[in-house]
Amino acid sequence: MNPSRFLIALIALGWASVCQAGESSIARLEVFPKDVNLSTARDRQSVVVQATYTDGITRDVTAQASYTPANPALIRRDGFVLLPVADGETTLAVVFEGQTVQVPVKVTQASAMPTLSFRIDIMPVFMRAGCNTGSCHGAARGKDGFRLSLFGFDPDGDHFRLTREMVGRRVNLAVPDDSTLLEKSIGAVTHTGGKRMEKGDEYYNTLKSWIEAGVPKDDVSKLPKVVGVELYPRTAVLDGEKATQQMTVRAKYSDGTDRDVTSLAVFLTNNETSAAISPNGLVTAGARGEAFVMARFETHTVGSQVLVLPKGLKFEYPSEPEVNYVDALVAAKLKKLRIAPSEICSDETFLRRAYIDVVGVPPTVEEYGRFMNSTAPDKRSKLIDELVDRKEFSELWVNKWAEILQVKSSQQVSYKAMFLYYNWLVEKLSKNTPMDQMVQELLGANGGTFKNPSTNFYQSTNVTLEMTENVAQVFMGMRIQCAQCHNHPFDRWTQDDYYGFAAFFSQIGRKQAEDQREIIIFNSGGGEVNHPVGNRRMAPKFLGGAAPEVAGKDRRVVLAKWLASPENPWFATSFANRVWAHFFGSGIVEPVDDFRVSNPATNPELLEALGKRFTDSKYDLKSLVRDICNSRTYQRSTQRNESNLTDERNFAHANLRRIKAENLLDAITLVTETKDKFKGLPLGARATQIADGSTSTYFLTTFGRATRETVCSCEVKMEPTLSQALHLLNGNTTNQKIQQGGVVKKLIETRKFPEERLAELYLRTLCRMPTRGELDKLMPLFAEGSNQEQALSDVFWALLNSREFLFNH
Amino acid sequence: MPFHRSIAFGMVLTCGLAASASAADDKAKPKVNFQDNVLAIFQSRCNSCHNADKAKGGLALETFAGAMEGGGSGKVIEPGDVEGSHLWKLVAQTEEPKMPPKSPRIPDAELAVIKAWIEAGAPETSGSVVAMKAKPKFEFKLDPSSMGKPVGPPAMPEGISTEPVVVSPRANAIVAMAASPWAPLVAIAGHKQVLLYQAQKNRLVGVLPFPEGTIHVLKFSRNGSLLLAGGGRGGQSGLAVVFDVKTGKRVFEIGKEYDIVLAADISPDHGQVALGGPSKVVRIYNTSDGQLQFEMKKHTEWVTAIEFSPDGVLLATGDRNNGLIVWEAQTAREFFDLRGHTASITDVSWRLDSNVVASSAEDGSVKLWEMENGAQIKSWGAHGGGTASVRFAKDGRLVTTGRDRIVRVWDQNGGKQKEFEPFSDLALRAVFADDDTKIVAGDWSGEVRVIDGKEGKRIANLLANPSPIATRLEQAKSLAQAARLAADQAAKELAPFQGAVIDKTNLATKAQESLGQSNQDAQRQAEAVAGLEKLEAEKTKLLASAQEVLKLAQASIEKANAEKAAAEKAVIETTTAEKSTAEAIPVARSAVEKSFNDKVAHDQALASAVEALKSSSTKTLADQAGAALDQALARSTELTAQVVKAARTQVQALAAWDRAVAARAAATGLLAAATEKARLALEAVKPAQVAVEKAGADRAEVSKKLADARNAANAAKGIADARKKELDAALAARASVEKTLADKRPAADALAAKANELKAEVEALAVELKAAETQKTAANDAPKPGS
Repeated sequence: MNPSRFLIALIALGWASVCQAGESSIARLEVFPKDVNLSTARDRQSVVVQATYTDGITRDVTAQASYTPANPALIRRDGFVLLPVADGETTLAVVFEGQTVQVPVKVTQASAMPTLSFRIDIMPVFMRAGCNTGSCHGAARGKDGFRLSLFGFDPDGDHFRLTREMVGRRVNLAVPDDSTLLEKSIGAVTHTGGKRMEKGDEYYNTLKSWIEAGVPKDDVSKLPKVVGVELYPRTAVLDGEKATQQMTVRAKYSDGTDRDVTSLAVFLTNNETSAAISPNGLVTAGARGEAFVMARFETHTVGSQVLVLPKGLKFEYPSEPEVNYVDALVAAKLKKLRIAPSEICSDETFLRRAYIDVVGVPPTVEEYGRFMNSTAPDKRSKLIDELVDRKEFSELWVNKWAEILQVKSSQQVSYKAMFLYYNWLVEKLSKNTPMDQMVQELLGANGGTFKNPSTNFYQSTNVTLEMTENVAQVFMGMRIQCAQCHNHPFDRWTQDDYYGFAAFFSQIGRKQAEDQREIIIFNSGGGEVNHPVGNRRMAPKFLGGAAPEVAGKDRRVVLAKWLASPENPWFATSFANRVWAHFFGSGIVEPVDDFRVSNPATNPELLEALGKRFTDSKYDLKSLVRDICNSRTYQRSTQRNESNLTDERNFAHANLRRIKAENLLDAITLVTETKDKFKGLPLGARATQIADGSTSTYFLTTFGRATRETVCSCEVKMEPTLSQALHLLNGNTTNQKIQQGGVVKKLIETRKFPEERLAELYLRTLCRMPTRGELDKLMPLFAEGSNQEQALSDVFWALLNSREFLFNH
Repeated sequence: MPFHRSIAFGMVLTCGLAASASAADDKAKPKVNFQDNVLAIFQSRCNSCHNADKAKGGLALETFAGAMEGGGSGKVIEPGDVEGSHLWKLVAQTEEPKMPPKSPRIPDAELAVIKAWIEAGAPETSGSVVAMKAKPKFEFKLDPSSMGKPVGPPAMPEGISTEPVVVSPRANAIVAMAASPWAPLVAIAGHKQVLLYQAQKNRLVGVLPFPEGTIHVLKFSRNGSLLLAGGGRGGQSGLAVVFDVKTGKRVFEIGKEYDIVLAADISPDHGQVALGGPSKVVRIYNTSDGQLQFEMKKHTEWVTAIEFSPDGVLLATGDRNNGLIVWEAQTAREFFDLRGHTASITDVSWRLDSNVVASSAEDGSVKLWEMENGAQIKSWGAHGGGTASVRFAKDGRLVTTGRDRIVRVWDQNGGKQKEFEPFSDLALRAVFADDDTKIVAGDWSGEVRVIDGKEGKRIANLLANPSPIATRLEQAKSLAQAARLAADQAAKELAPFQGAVIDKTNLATKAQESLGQSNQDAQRQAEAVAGLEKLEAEKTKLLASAQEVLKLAQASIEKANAEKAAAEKAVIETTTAEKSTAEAIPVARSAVEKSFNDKVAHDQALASAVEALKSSSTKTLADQAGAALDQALARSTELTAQVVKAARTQVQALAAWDRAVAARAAATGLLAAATEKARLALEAVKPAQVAVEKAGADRAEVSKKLADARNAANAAKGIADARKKELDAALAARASVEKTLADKRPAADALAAKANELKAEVEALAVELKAAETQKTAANDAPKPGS
């Protein structure tokens, strides 16, 4: 360890937080929910009490706290559930370890017993019991002859099927207990899905009461809607395995009422090993880590963050400078997780990493020398500025855009149109056109695919719904495909949202231009999208936004203005996330085009800051790249320490990343000093510059070049495969290029020492000097009388096959 | 359990028969069995092909199991049934393909062994217990010719308890309902019970417990004596239970499904029960022994509808996918696969002649299919949203229900005949009841209506969730009391009108009586007049005949006189003729003389002329002489003729005179006769004149009497007419009172009838309740085992 660094650490000791769980005292007591509203005799509210200690650890002290209502005549308590007795307002004093929290309680209509509603009371039972999942009765054809709509997207249909499809079977109006629905659900008779509830439990009784009441149907016009769902507590920091935290869920309705839906919500976790959650909402800590536990009720999914720390962990965050907001926000998260970041990487490592990430090629020996010899303290920053202005930078991003915009010639898209489209991208990115402007041009494009190449955007598909899904995925990072057939099971999107959004694309006109190969895209002004359930005509509505006035306007132009603007909360962040993922190997939301309530950002604050920065810079890609590359977070070593050993999502260390197909081929070509020939491009063009998605080579295909058939980020395959390794070992790329390029021959001709020649090859390929150990092992090859050229070729081949060359690190 | 008993009975019967045939053999030698006897035959005759390796036709006879399993075409051995065993028919070479192929029959001795083996129930070894099916119990089967209306009164429940098994505040949806084809009886499916309602008085007449669960299908047998209920517990068990309609006892239970039975039927001869449900399999059971006869696995979804054709030949089944298949009931072979529906089949119903089957489906249509070629002959949209049921009436009309909440009646062309007031929810089932005069229909909410088939009016509602007897008794009591009060009140209000009717009736009766009297008088008078009139007519006739006689006599006088005059005239004429003829005779004689003289004279001239000629010398003279001669000759001829003529005239004159003499004589004779006749005629007129006078006097006397009688009759009729008017007035008065009464009476009668009915119901319920209580008490009082 570097002694100076040790000193800094010692000095910083006073500032750094030292966490010792055993000795800490209570810092804050919270009761969830913060207020209790009980309306009608059927209502109730479970409460959860959470204590936060000075060391940041939280404890569920619900059972240990004492509860005293100011007016005991209004409410009664059953365990940790509050029940109404009489109308009025009072407070509930919750006391734990000397801390008191006053919870306002309001009781209304304490004696009213409203009739059960199918949508509000019954449907959630099917959701909770798992009846309407895709593997059970929610399957498209149902199960064992009975179907429910998947996750309840069609309540009217479900009511029909329960009560009137097979009359006399599912519900028994005379003797509700004998209804097949109930008998199956409690396993009294054979049920493929097993026992889903107990006779006499809450769910059973709800269903039974509803049948007793004559299976009433809802008057939808009078029914309140769920407007929001709250999951408490919002965060929990659990101290060691087996620590628990009870969650409570409350739904808010459009009529102002709320309801405890803890027993009706479906609980999920995105990290079962760290924080498992029981069907009743009890979180149990597992291995160290972070989890996002979620509650789903109706179409709403909400999540809370749960951190699990080793029991009694002592932790000290290293003191280090923060370059910019990126570092600050990453550090904040790491401190929460008690994870120490890795050291900053060496100049050599940084140089190669930055070259490959920013311009897609490794540095040349000369560039290496220039950078390493520079003594300027801000030489890294300068290098970044320099690289960002190179034309390879924009080419690299053109390539990325071409992937997600599916730039590809095909039966429908002529080569010329494709080429013009590609050149349009090149022009926009090389001029650093603000992203919002570029996207608006794409979405609102009208005219011939030759004259206005951006119209090619609408040539990727003729199918309205596919176009809808593509736009959401490309520009908002969302996969809304699920909602085409049913409400999205793990996100907020309903079929209404989906078809409302699709309505923007219902009026795309297409016609043949004079040139057979050219298509004219125009606003046809007619055409609507209908909802598949009930066949309602859907008015255009922004995804997660307002329904704009579109009469007489080009709907796509209206959409473009909203989509590529700060009003759309996903535009800037989803793009920033894509950029981030490029430099770190994984996004803050991963996959980058799967923004979803149940797939939350690992560091939402960071994502937001990046988005804001992007917006504030008028959507300037270069400044965003500079922010990221200058940060200490980007420049960390891939070497992990004990605390960040298992962490993959919080950017506490750099990641090993295989180099993308095009860049890898370009790198091999560069270091072997050869030239490639691709279809439609001059000799010596680089793979990154290939315009047409349908042009490929065996090498590129093997290394997972995007086929550009879909907009999915998963098209680019980064996983190493056996055929990749075999191709490099035996295939014609490496061997031939070594032979063709004559790098070895030139080196032989330089009359240098073998060590120097080896160093040259190392710098050329790995951007570093060979180590002593490597030289010791290699030198025997170059002993007196050996074939120097052959030996050098072998080393060159070995270097090109090395993982160090294939990976960015 | 009656069913088990029936098996036992069947077994005993069979064993008894077998015993009588071969009791002696049984003891003498070991049973013919597969291992010891049959296998050797198979080995030598069959197994070169039917071994496990070759298994020709899928059949291997090397092992008992293989033989019993059968081959590609199914079972080859039917234990106990030689002629029903496929193997036997082939080895006995009574059927193709003959076995062994292209060879003579195996020796008779070996055939006899095989036969004996099958007859013995095809045991495996000498120790095997034979699992032979009992022979069908005969009394179950009906004579096919009597499958129509049963002889004697159709079955109605007699003394079946009406205590509901399940009492619920709400009725379940009416998923099954059936009407007896011959009796006014409707069965309604409840939860765990069948409700039997009398369809004329709409009274609950029986509750049949069905503790197995929910009932999904109800069917009366074609003769109405049995009621089949199919159902069970969803996802758990299902079966069909057959009840005796009269006693309410369970006759048998059939089927062991692992989910509810959704559809079932009993064959018209009671020999088979078919059932199906979510298992997608249609199973046919033999009712005699409860054994499964056939399994049909062609349906791809839940079986929802089953019905045997009324002749028992065919079986129609439908499923939840739109599959509709007709099978041969006796063989379970597919007869027709009826394609046409596009959604779940909900019901099938046969026309009484078994030639047409109707199907209803969730696609809303009703389709009719003929059984000649399996063609769809009619299809119409019956109910928007789905048709829930279809039933044929005996006369070929159809009643349907559907999701549009309406019950409709159609003719066979799909022409809508009636549409009844809509239900408040899905109309699920409707049946023709009480000899097709009524329609009973039920809906999703459990409401059951009885509808007049002709008028379309609702007659009553039947409760699908009846209360316990005690409750019903209380209700009926208070209702009966109220009804009695109302009836009495009505009767009281009616009393004065009834009195008035009696008064008026008396008056009318009196008037009637006097009118009778008068009428009798008048009648009598009229009769007298009629007698006299007749007499007068007779007399008139007599007078006329006398006058006729007189007229004839006078006519004969005239005729006689005329004849006399004619005779006188004839005498005169004949006398004159005699005279004239006598005068002609001398004339004729003189003429003869003169002509003769002339002749003689001329003969001289002639002779002179001849002489002259002869003498004439010259020619001229000769010629002159010749001419003179010719002249003379001619004259001579002429004179000769005159002589002849005169002579002839003389002869004629003589003859005429003779005739005139005769005529005068005759005329004189005739005159004498005529004169006599005239005298006689004159004498005959006199008596005739006397008779005429007498007849005229007689008639005049009678005419006078008649006139008198007529006067008397007219007087009597006048009296009678007056009496009639009096009577009419009396009757009118009574009628008006009666009308008033009639207007008021039906209401009162209805009230009274209702009161009586309720009273009867109260009594019946009380009796039933008492019986139930007695039973309970008896059960409680009975000494417990061990006490």
